[in-house]
Amino acid sequence: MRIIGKSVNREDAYEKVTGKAPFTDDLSFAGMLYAKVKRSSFPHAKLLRVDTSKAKALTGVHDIATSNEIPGKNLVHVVIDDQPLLADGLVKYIGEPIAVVAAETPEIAEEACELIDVEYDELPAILDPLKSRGEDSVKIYGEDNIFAHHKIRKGDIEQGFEQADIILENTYRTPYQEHAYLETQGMVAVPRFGGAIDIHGSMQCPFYVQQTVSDILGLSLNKVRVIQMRTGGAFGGKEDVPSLVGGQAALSAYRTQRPVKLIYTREEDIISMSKRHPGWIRYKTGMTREGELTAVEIEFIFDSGAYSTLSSIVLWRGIVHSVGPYNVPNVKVDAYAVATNKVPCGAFRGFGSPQVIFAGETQMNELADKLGMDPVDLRRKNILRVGDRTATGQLLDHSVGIGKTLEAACGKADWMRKKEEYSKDTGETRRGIGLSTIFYGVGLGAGGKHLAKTGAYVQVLKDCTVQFAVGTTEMGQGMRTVLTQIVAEQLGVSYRQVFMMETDTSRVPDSGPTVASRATVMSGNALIEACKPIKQTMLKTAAKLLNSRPEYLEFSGEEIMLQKEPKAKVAVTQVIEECHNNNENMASEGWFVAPTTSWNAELGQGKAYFAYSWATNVAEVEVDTKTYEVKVLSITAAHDMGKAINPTQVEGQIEGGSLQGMGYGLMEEVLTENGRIINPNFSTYIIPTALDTPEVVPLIVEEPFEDGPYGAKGFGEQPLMGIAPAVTAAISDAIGVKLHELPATPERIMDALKRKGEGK
Amino acid sequence: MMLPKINYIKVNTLTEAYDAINQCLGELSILAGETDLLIELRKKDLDTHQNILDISNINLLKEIKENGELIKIGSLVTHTQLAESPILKKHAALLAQAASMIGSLQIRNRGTIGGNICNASPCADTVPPLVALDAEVTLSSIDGERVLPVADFIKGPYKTARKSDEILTCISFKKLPEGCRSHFIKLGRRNALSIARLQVAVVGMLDNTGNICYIKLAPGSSMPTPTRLHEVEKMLINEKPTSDLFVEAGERTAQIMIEKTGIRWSTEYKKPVLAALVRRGLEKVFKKTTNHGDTETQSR
Ligand SMILES: Cc1cc2nc3c(=O)[nH]c(=O)nc-3n(C[C@H](O)[C@H](O)[C@H](O)COP(=O)(O)OP(=O)(O)OC[C@H]3O[C@@H](n4cnc5c(N)ncnc54)[C@H](O)[C@@H]3O)c2cc1C
Repeated sequence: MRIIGKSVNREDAYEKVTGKAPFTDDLSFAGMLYAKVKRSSFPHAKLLRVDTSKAKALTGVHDIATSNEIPGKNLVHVVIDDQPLLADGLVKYIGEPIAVVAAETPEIAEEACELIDVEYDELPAILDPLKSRGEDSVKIYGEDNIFAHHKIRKGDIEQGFEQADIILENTYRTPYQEHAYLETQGMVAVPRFGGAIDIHGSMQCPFYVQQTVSDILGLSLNKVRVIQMRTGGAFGGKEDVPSLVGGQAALSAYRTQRPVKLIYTREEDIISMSKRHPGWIRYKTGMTREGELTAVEIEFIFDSGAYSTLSSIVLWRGIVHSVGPYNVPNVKVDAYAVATNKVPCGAFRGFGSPQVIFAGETQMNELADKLGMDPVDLRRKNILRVGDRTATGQLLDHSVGIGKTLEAACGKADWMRKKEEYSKDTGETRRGIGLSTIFYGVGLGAGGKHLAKTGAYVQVLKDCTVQFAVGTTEMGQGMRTVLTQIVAEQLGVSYRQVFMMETDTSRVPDSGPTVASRATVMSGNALIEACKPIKQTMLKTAAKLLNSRPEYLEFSGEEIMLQKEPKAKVAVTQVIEECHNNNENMASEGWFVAPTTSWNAELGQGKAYFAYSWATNVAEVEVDTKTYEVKVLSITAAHDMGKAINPTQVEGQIEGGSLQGMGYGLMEEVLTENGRIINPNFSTYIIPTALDTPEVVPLIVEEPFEDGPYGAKGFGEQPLMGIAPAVTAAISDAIGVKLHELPATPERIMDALKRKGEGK
Repeated sequence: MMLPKINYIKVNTLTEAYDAINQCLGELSILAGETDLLIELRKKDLDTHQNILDISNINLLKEIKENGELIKIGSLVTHTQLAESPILKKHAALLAQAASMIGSLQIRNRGTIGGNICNASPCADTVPPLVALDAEVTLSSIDGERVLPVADFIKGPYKTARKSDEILTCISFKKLPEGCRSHFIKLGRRNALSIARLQVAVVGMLDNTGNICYIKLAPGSSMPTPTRLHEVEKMLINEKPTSDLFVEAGERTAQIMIEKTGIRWSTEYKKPVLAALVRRGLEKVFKKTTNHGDTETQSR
């Protein structure tokens, strides 16, 4: 292939590196106003009065909207309809929006927010997720504070534990994680003719924003157009919550009939936007003396915050991934997403899986220890292979690369030798090596079937360039480049001849969200569909030029040639010109619906996802036994993504994801006090920097997926998911300590060592 | 970024600066590299007026000079300059070392030593080395100059003895004696853009019988005000540099921290760790090669 599998330069690299790429805050319109959101200062309170009179009197203030001023429905639809755009009589978390101000300058808007007088009647708040389900807890959602309960029932769990020679049971805790995208949330809303409105902004899911703006304004969908700007990072943090930002900007713009810009400050963004769900996980595993898994029983709780948002599907992905990539005959899982009076949690790279992977992989590593077996051998015994069934009973019929990733990563990292060598360390710093094996269901799966579709539009122009549009978005993950490669390969043109237009809801039909590592497979396939009729027209035209028949011709590089007689050929550019001269239609649409999935909610059984990506991570660390600091020396990560359409981008994802996973494992912590986030900036919310970056060794394994474009499965989230347990396993290996809570800060490592010393 | 209303004056000489200070009604902030000041300004009410005197153009204050036994550092010298200075690397290496660990390259290119001292954060990275060097600051105003030890100038967290019409112009200290070694340790939560949680600055030398004949020790981020630990220095002076002695010195330092600051949530961690860092600082300064393996193998 000419372009697929080649590491062409990122399509947007130059404009981003040179600072030319326009982000939302760079947009300006004549007469534009600036919006600012007034937010709740209590975790749970009745709103007795919202007095905007003083604020309205301030010179330069054009509009203040509270829930009373919403013309349509006061609703941000995600899954369960419980979240208002603006609080209506009740606030449920600190930072919840109460009113939107539009003013001539950001400073005036901010001053006006301070002048809005809110009278609260404080209510008792529920902050501890473990107390949320209790009978005597304050009820903030339904009768039981449970947004969702998902389960798996496979085999006979009691019998499974009877067959076990050893049983290991532990409780794990995982923290919030903040997305820390470089660009904060932002939208610009612009009123248009005929009562229509355009929304420009930073987002993953334009069709979600379109729905919310339509609901809020009471406008039909055909009058709401959403255009994605260059998006400075997202990681799930721009999946559902931009609907709030877009709804707020749209409300002000609609009421003032002026363009309105709304850009969140970092502090506002951190206190009010979604995070990774904190998890509490009780994990019980049964195993034979030979190291065969007999049973896994898990109960876990996700602290979901004040509104349901995406929690139900985050939880669902959590249960599907909770047992890991292993053959387990008997499984029982119960998972709950519970309400608390804190910021609503949502999507974050991995989507409910990093929490359970930390627990599950730590179990595997500790079981290996108990058995005196090498953790790699324990994996070899239990990993899924073609012909096996997952914990949800799904038969795996092809594209199962876990074994290959295991051998590749451990081989490259020189596992056996390092393990031996590190065990001899005796100084004040000790080295260790640890491992995790993971899998990841690609796409929305059975939990999001109704959204599992995508559209694409391709047009070949008379100067032989190609433009195309899709409904999924570029957020830094490299989708533009990969899709441009696919279109160029398909149409026999060079990579530079192809250009992706910005994602815009008016260009292609609703294509669902850009999440779940689905864009390459979904938009890639839709583009291949869109190219088909154009290619047919080109073959027909080439046939005339070559005095042949279309079925005898084929694309070869940037030419079309006679199959039997390669010398008889014509350049693709000549064919395109001829097509235009003949008034052929050189534009086409493509549509792709994901392969089917299925789910039985009572048993938690079914074909959860149409394909799985697989990975093995090996982490090497050095632990300072006096300061308890951990230095990650290296991460060797082998990933099976079916086909690396752009290997350098795959490696980039592995490097970035490893670092984000390391942050989750070692340092990132959102601190709260009475429901208030007390570290809402990057001097106190600590993420890794370039100087903390270990050597990352990315390895690509390709087990093609037959329904994927060129065999590709999804890739993007996986690199983060298994890093934390590999790192903590390496720490355990170095200093013999058990870590069941993240992040593994020096203080927690010290505590764990003390507990060990006390024989607990 | 939301900032209060700013009345901004930029000067090119100290004389212009004194004039500006005298003419100014109301409170005035001096701006050097702006890396602390900008953050402070963001916290102010938007409708307040803020007078700012930008001294960053006064070239006279941007040099590191040798003056016989003295080293004089202009208050506008940046951390990058400190980190790269051959004079400092030779005569006060720990200050260059500390400066090289500050923030990030961008912050080091802008942030100044004067700003670091005047901001008086308890975790300012140049302060423990300066205290260990017995450095002094020169404060200048239209009425003249006065000189104060750094350790007296900093009165507490974010508090200094600076009068509102004074500009810190110079930092000076004696070169370390020939053969003297120094070391600075910073413990943070990551390797760049990291706020110190604990610091240790050590300067020391052995005489020709192998006894410690010169020792100055200044921990940071752990005491209410920056100070040398004379008591611990006394334990060490004229003694042989043994592992046991260093362990003792570390433990005593940690005790002094608790005596001065009381027990906090972080004490459980900081106590053993400060002790270990002091021990390591001493080992680094007094041993040819540090060999952690010698001293202890088990974590305490
Ligand atoms: C991202 C980031 C990372 C940082 N990391 C570190 C770090 O690792 N270690 C560290 O120690 N610090 C760090 N800092 C803090 C800061 O960079 C330093 O304290 C720096 O030295 C301040 O110098 P400045 O010239 O920027 O001071 P400015 O911000 O200009 O001034 C600071 C204060 O001192 C006063 N002032 C400045 N110069 C004079 C003078 N000559 N006379 C009288 N008053 C004066 C100002 O009025 C102001 O109150 C960091 C800051 C940021 C933003």
